[in-house]
Amino acid sequence: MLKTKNSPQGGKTMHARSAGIYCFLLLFCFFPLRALAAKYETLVEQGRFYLEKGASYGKEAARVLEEAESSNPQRAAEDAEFLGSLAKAYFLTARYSEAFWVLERAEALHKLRPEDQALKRKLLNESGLGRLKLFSVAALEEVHCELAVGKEQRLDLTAKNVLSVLNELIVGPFSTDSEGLTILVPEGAYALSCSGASLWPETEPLKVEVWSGEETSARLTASYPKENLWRIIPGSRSISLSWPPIKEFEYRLFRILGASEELIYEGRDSKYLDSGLSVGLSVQYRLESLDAGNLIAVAQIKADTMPAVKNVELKASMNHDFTVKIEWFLGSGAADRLRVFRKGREKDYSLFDGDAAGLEIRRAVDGPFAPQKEPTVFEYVIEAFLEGSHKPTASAVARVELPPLVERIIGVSESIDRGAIVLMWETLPREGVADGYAIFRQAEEGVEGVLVGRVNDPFAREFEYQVEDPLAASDWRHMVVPYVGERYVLDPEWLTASGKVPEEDFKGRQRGKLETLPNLGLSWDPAAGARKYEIVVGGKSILVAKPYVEIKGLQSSLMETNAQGEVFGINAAGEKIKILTFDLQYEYYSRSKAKGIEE
Amino acid sequence: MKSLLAVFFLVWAAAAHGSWSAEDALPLSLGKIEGKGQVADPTVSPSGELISFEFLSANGETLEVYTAALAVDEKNTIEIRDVKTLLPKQDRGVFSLGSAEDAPASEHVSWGPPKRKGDRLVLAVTRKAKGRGGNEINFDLLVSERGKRSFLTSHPANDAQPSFSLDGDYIAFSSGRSGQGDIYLYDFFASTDPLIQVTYDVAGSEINPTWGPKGKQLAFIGHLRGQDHLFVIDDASNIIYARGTGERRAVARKETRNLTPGWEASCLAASFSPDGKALAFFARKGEGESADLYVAPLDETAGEPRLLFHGVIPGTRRGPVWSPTGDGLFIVKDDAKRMNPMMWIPLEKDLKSKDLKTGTELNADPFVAQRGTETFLLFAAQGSSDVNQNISQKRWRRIFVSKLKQTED
Repeated sequence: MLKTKNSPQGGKTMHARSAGIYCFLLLFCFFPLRALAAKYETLVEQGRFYLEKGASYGKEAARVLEEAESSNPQRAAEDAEFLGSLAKAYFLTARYSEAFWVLERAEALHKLRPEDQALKRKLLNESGLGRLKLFSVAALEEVHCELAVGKEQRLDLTAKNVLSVLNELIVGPFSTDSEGLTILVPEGAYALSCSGASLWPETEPLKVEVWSGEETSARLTASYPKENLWRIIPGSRSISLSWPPIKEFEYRLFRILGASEELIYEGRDSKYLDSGLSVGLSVQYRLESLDAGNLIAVAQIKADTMPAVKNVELKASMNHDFTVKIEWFLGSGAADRLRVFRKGREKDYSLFDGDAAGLEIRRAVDGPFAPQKEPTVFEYVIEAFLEGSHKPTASAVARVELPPLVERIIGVSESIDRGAIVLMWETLPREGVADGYAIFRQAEEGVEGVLVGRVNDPFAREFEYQVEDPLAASDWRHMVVPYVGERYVLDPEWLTASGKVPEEDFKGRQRGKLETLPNLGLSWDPAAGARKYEIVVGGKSILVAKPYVEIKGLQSSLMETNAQGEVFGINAAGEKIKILTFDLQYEYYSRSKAKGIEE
Repeated sequence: MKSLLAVFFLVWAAAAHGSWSAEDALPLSLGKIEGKGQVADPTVSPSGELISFEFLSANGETLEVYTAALAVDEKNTIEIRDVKTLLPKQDRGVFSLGSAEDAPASEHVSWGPPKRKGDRLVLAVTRKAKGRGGNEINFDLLVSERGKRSFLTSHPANDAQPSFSLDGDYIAFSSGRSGQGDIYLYDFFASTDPLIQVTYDVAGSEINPTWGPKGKQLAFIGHLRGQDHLFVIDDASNIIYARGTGERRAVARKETRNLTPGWEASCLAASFSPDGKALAFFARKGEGESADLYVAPLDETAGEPRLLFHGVIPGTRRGPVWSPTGDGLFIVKDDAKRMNPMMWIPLEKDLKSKDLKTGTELNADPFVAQRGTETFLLFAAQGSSDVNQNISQKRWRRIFVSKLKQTED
């Protein structure tokens, strides 16, 4: 148990425990660092020992010094003594390029000692070595190189050994920044072969002559620019190419189609528009970058002109004003002409027919159309053409249905909620449309309905308005009357009529069978010679045999009209003789009466 | 074929009627080292662009090879520039005797065929033995060319007297590595061991190898039965390509010819004639006697070596100096009264030798160089005997250069 120093009782356990933890952490962190440092120092010392023993221990020196660097790279990077020793070890083992790099590192850190400077001078000026700088316009990545002795060149034994060591080094793979890599090569003429991801595959090795004490540059032909650096904009019959510029360099752009290759551009601009191509053509381009006529970079890239458009979309939708909105989308691809039309029974109605350029998305409006008794289907077609072709490369069809006209309103429901009257209704047919709906209110029996509002929406199925006296509104009845233009939609077809004389009075019929009572029950005196009678009311003609008719459905159809009915007698010859005329006015029909409640 | 005929005609014409004369020699300025030591063995690179010389410092402690650029102006006046030691002042550690106070030593330059970007030479240089774990020093061979300076050999025994072959593939040198002096070749393009032993005589030592202009001719001086004889190997390829030491030893013995059998004289350094058909050499008949100039035909049927001139001063490092056309040799006559004049010795028996009026005294180490159409004679000397000349000019041996002209007698 540890005790704190200042404790008069000899310390407290808590403190002792904390101190123990701190010590443990200290040991945990500090000793490995110390061990690391000790290992590094031991290895460097060992390396120096080998160096003092002479050239025959150079390999051992290099090995332990490399091990030292691995054990503590950060320290090695800044340790002048280490760098000098490593350079010397490399020098003694003919690893001259590596020695040079180490000395360069030390010089960059301003840690080149006098003996290192002497070694560098010897390396560069007295070792029969020349500097060969390998570089390209882009950074070298994963490059493998080999220096072969030129045909006319003989290397002496020493140079052969140096070259052998050097080739083991540059076989790589190695990577550099755009500054390249300088290697030390015995004086002579060589064939340099390099390959790698960042290089253009050379067919012939590069001939280089290296002179002792001099620097020679071997610019490797880069595979540049990479594919991701190109900007390619395909056109229908052209391809726009641009690439990152290399200052002061010239370019030669070749178009390769199959086995044929054509120089299509030569100049300093780093872009070119290759036009006059065909639609859907796949082209290879080879870009050669030249510096004073010397090839420094090559890139090959594939590009395609746009194929004929394969995908067109057409949408048609019915607007509230019974016009049809047509939208089309032209997919990627080439199209010269576009045709949009509505199919007709006898002939097509053209909405657009012209140049497709710039018409990727367009709209058109067709109509307006009047709703008919039956739903009307309109079919629209879009067709894309290439120039000179009558067969469309892509087409699409869109259909839109104009709903049928509302025949009548059914199921009007009313609700009152804190002064708001909400009306909801259904139509027959359910999907039927009208220009709008007029809402009438009847406040009391015997008065005409009052127009309280209109909904100018063919598909509206509800209406809401505010009232000041919700209590009074509880007795109101509402009617919804669809209209088209200025005319209310009153389809007489929904009127039902019967010529059967009832056996029971209305009250009895209502009580007994819960029958919906007719809106009109009409009888008249029989006319002489009349074989049958024709009743014309609400635009509908009804034939009956006896002088009696019952009609249902007049309530809605005759709302707010002063309708007139007529009765004709028809004799055996088919002649019609008017028997009577009557006026019809829709009467108040209270909610309580409708429910069979006596008032 | 035409060129061969032309050369033959030139040689024949010169041999029949030619002679060489020298213009007054001019000293070359040595810059900062002027007057600080003695110059010896000036040589010019094959390209004619560089000159080398040995320089013994005034205190006698350092002997170093210097090089300089050789410039010829519009008036064909030669001067040298950028005089510097071959081994740099800095980084001298590996070349010195071991400490800053130790004096370096380098000697005996042999120029190789020039490379495309400059001349190259080989020389013997002192080398610290410390690098090999010992304390002794010795001479090793160092090759120096543009951008390269490296030791070719590394052995505790001395390697010295290098000689580049004409094609530059080999350097012949004498080495003590076998226990006595032997001739070795350094093969630049060997696949494994670049050293090839050429001589195997355990009874004596072989020194002063020199290559001939024809293929792999190699001459050297060999000690045999108390005398130094001149040997020649007509085609060293046979030795070079022999397999194994045993075969090489046998081939070497078979290929080596003694050109001075039975001589009781010490042969000194030899040199091949430009056509490779003869060897000129110095030989001293007895202790204390002056050396003589001989020419030995290499055709085995041509007979004994012929005495060309009696009483010559041998070169410091190399054999007799042939004229470019091979019609004779330039020597320094051993004549104390006449202060060792420079002479032209024709090969043709009927022609007379003559003094070259260089205006210099105590001449030594002549070397013939060609630059463009001009032929120059360089040599070490102690200046003119003209009393009006500055006396300091005669204190130190300097390099003089004199234009040579071929004349008809």
